Amino acid sequence: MENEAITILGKPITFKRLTLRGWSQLENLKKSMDDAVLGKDFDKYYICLVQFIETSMSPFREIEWKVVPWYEAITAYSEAVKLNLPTLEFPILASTKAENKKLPWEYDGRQWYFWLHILASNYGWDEYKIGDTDIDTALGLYQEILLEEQLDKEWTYSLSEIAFPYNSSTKKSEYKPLDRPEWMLPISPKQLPVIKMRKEMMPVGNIIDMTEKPKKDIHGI
Amino acid sequence: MESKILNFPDAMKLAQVLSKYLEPDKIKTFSELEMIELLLSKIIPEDYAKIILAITNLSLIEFSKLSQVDKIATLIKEFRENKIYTLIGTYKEIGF
Repeated sequence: MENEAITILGKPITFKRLTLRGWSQLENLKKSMDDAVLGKDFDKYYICLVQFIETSMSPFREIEWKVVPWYEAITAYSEAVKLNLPTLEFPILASTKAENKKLPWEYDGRQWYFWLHILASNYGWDEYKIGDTDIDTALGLYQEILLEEQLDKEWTYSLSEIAFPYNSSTKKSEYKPLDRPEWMLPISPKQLPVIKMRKEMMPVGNIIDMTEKPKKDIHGI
Repeated sequence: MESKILNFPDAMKLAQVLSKYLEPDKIKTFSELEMIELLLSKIIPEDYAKIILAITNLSLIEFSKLSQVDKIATLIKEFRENKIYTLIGTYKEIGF
């Protein structure tokens, strides 16, 4: 990916797109920044922002951050974020449900171990190979791993009795599919198809046009 | 007089005060003078002092000795140098 060049205190700064190991650090910093926003801690937010920029910088330059204008810092941060985003629209990232609850097993720095575990256990890769993986490759593989796990679960589920609950009204056992995560559900169409209906099927009655003022009839009503 | 360019933490502290009086959507069509007039018409003395100390290199006493025209001109100049229009919008977008 091309390096994006911006200036800080008159000096040109370039960034690079990080591989999985570096990207995990950026994701940890983003979480810390979210926590700082919730606590309205401007100093902590800035410290994380600076670390974010310095992690993405290539080559590294010593900068006196205390005197950097705020707009230059934000511009640099935006460029670093843009460069390190996934380039493909993975359905797994398009979840509308925001889960802000912190899980008991979460801790700062967990991101890297999460990716290391997922990719090592599924493909047998070593730490260095996983660390050098591109972000898009990692996310794409992660989605495929989850897809395969879900389909395996559905297959195992369909072989069990609980997949066929008894319906007392129909007196039959009917297949009830396993719930799928949101990103695997069918995409609802943005525009519904226009269905023509027979005139005889339309509701009957007088149509009153409310856009015009009602005219008084000869009886003054 | 040299302008005081704010670093990020100081800019956010200033934005925290300004955002009480100025809404990004409402002020985007305002001129700099209109924005400052709107701010000065609503601001409480405590926040006024915070803004002066944050954005100028003058003490409150030195600033109070300026003529009304010079006060407004100083604020316009410092607001322009520190891109205040963008600052308030950025403050809201970050989510503070």
